[in-house]
Parts: sequence; C-alpha cells; structure tokens
Amino acid sequence: MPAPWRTVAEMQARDLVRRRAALLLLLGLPMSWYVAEAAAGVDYAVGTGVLAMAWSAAAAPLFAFLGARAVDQRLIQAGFRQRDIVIGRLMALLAICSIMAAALGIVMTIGSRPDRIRDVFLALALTTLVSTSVGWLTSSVVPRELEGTLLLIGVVGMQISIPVSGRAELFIPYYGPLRLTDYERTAVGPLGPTAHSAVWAVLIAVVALTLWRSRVRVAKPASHCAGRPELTSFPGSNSAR
Amino acid sequence: MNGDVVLEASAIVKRFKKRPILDSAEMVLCGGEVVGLVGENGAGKTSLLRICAGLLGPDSGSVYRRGRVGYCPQRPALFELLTASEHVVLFGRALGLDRASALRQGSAILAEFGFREDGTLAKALSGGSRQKLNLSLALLGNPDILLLDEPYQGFDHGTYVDFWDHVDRWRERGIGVAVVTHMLTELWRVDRVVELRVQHPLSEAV
Repeated sequence: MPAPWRTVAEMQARDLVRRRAALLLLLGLPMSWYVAEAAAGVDYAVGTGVLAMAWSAAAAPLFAFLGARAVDQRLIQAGFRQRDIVIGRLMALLAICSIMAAALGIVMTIGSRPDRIRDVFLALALTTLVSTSVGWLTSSVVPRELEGTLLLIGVVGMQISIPVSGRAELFIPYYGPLRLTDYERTAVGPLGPTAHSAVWAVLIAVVALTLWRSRVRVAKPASHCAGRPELTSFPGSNSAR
Repeated sequence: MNGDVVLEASAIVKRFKKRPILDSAEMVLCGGEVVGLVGENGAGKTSLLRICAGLLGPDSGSVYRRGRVGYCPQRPALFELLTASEHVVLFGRALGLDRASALRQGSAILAEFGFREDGTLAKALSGGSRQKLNLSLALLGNPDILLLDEPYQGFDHGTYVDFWDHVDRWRERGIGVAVVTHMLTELWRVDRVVELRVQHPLSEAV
C-alpha cells in the first residue's frame, strides 16, 4: 500500500492535470513574456522569462490550496495527518511546475543561446521552489483566487523594481534566480543563489504551514480511558472527568 | 440502542465575534441511537455538530467521543475535478484502506444510495449525486458515530425516504447517529430530539 502522501500527491496531480486551460495559461504566460522580450532584442529576456515563471509557479499552489480549503479539514478529520496532505500536495505541485519550467528552459536555451545554460535551468528550478512556497503562503492569507492573483502580481512584480545589489538583495526572495540570469554582472557560483533560495523557500513555507495548520486543525481526543469515551478538552473547559 | 455513550458534549459555549451561538449546550449520543438536532436558522446546529466532530473549537466545554466519527458536512466538501471513485480512494487511504478495499467498500455504499459511478467529475454531478457522494464518504470505514448535517439536501423524494431507511439500518448496526434536520415530519423516526434555540440554552425533549 503506498504511503498516504503518495495518494494525496496522485489525486492532486490528477486534479491539476485536468485543469488544461489553466495549465496552458500558466505555461503560456512566461513563454509569451520571454518571446516578446527576446523579439524586442532585450538583453534581459531570459531573466524576464524566469521572473514570469515565478508568477506561474506561484499561481499553481495558490489555486491548489484555495481549491482544497473546504476539503482539507475533512481529510484530516477522516484520518490523514497534516504532513501527508502538505507533502503530497507540494510534491505534485513541484513536479508539474518543474515540467513547465523545464519546457520554458528549453525554449529560452534555443531562443537566446545563453552562455551559461546550467544557470538558466538552475534559476528556473530555484524559481519553482521559492514560488511554490510563495503561492502557498498567498493562499493562506487571501479569501479567494482573485485577491491571491492580484497579490502575486504585486509580489512578483516588485522583484524587478527592487535593485538587485548591495545588502538589499538578500531580502529579495527571488534574488537567487535573478542573480543567476543577470548577464550584466560577473558569473556567480551556484552555491550562494541555491542556499539563498532554499532559505527563503523554507522560511516562507514555515509561515504558510503555520497559517494553514491553524485553518485545518482538528481537535483530537486528549486522553482515552478503557470503558469511557475519549475526551477532547478545550480552553476554559469546566467539565473534565 | 445498546446504551453505551459514544459521544457526549458538555457545557459547550461558542461565540462568533460577540454573537453568542451556543450557551451551555449539551448533547449525548449512545450507540444504536438516532438523535435529531433541530432548531431555527442560526441556532448553532451546524456549529454544535462541527464541535462534536472536532472541526471547530468551542470557547469552553468538552466533548467525549468513543470510536471513529464519520462527518457529513451540509455543503459537500469535494474536489471538483476528481471522480467519485477517486474521492473514495483518497478518503479510504485516510482511513488506512488500500485502493481495492476502498473501491469495494465505496462502491457498495454508493450503490446503496443508487449512485452509479461512470467517471463523471464531481463538478458535473447533480446536486443530489454530490450529496450522495458526500454522505458516502462519511460512511467509509464503518464509523461508530455518524454526524450528518442535513445530509439529504438535493435528494429526490424516493432517495429521501430511502435515507431514513438507511438511518434505521445504521441504528440496528449499533452506530450512534446525529442528524441535523429541518424536516420535522420525520422526527418520529429518531429516538430523541435535541432542540437548539437562538441565543438560549439548549433544551432537550425525549
């Protein structure tokens, strides 16, 4: 029998794959953005494509977590552990977004023939990682997809406006991928950007997890005595027995 | 009724912001017993049921449960792009059932309600069919306690009548069943009625 998170991942993947129009839009947005910039001869076309991928990779978890909001608590009440749902869903999202990012990477490699191809794919992988956390966190603080989409546009769009230099760059979640695809500066090794993205992804995920857990929490019996029903006690309880 | 208490909610107090919903609410449910939960809109029936299921925390009070709870929410909580079978596999895995067992058990339950699985996604199901799936998921894994929040919404008349026949069978199997209902004409089919009143302490009629 597969681990519980694998069943969650399978069903999440089935749900996502059936959203064909949404997936096409999520892939089409970074593709068209990159193609438009590349056609205009902009030097930073690859960076633009990576940033557009950030929006797409964040939108997928936004829709997935918001769409499951009414069901998650019921799944936990039915017997899933919280971590089964989180791991399963994130695995499915990362897999599908990675495929989209890889497709974009191939198009950008063919279109722009960048010198540092490895950096392009690493930047896309890091973007997918950070964005999954960003999308999850966004889903935890907005009531609906519309508000979440607008928030994502703002968050991702801000990454371009903030100058990626000096100490300020450390506070930009997408610094890693942006730095890797910044051809105006000297090449940087993969370690720094990777570590930076990993730290940001984990930090954002921890906040998202905290908010998500408060929403899906199910009170479990606090004790069990043979022959007596299990007890779920609550703050202020005045009837312990 | 086999007499063993399977669920006991005591001195439950719940407020939403400053609005009191439940004030010292009590409910006891025994195995093989059917309790009808009635009251006006806003009296706190759904809140009490959610508190009993552990889905909502009360401001104070305690809930005792013995055995596994099957909970059927008023509005079907489903993944719109999954089929009924996929829901059964997913919820079955939560209960520790493998795919084959979950499908076998789920198909039998769905068939009891006249639901024919043909691979239709949840979003394309009729209101009644969605509710049948919603109810079937609560029944997976042979729960000891069933908490049903107006589980027959969208049912046609025949299915609605059948639903109460099912309730009789669940009672015979020793399951403790609490049903939120507005259908006062069917209250003769329950063993006890618990009435909630808006902003008033709960009263119980036997």
